[in-house]
Amino acid sequence: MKSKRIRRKYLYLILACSVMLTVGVILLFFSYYAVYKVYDLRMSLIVSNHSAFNIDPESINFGTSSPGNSNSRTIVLSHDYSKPLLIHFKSSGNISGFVSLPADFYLQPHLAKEVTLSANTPLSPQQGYYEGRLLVYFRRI
Amino acid sequence: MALALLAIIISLSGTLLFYSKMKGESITAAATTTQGLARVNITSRASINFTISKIDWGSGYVNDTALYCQLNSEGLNNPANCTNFTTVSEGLRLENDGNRNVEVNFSTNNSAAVFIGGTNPIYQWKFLNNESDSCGSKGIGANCVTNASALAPQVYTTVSTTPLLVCPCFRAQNPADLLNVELQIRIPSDSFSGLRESIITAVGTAI
Repeated sequence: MKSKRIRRKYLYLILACSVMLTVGVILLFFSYYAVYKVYDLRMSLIVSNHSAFNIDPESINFGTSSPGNSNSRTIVLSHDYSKPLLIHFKSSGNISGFVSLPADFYLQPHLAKEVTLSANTPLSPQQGYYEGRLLVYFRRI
Repeated sequence: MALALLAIIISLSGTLLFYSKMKGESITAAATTTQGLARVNITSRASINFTISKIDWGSGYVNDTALYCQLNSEGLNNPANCTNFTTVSEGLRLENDGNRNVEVNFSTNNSAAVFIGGTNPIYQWKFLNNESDSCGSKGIGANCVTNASALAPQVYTTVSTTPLLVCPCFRAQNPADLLNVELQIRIPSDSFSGLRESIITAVGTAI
């Protein structure tokens, strides 16, 4: 009876270890293989009663926008990996409701692709400072 | 025991690596400093779309006795020709918020014929320094040189649907970094009816 209980305990332990191993290996696979590179860019926008450029290239600063208008910035993507990579965008922060992200696309090696990001200010937003992050994923196919 | 230890190590390292990878690499300096075989460069170009509803003359009509109604963003609204339109006394304002002087091009998405319609419609713009010397000529390097006539057109001129160089050097320094865009329209008595909209695009490129 006791040995049966011990055997069952070991079985649970082996099962738990197997699950942990599987999860770990999958995560390691995704870390090292599926995602080739991720870039994290800062985005910001001021909503005010006038419009303004901010061309500084240190971050995706959309400048200042007034209600109903839209401000755009462009980024250029490229890579030297041996095969095409899938480009995927994700945004976060209180600016993300204003930003329209490009659809996923495949990027061939050694080609530069210009992508436009737009911040569309609604007609009645609260004036103030909006910010967030843009994640650009270069994924292996 | 060894299996459990291995499972914990692999699981933890996988989770940590996955988390750090998904979090991404941050770019805090100019894009050219990024490393690796994949690159993201933030260009020194920006554009702003103004919807013309921002200079909103409201809704109205051309008087029966008039051939047209002419309105602008400097207060022109003649009641002898125009009825019910809102008088607008301020145009669009464009500021250079950044640290770089920029070249500015303007364009519209439609002409007077498409935006207003009818017989001899007019859709014009002009550009003024809101803060004096905001726009100058290109100097050496990225510097601007004072030139009062660099900003053009400064009298009402038909809008352009292709990019028009309006300011070759729009300063970034406060308090000389603000331009005004004034608009003028002529609505003929046989113009299109309903909500009409036009988009003005300003594109700034770092010098």
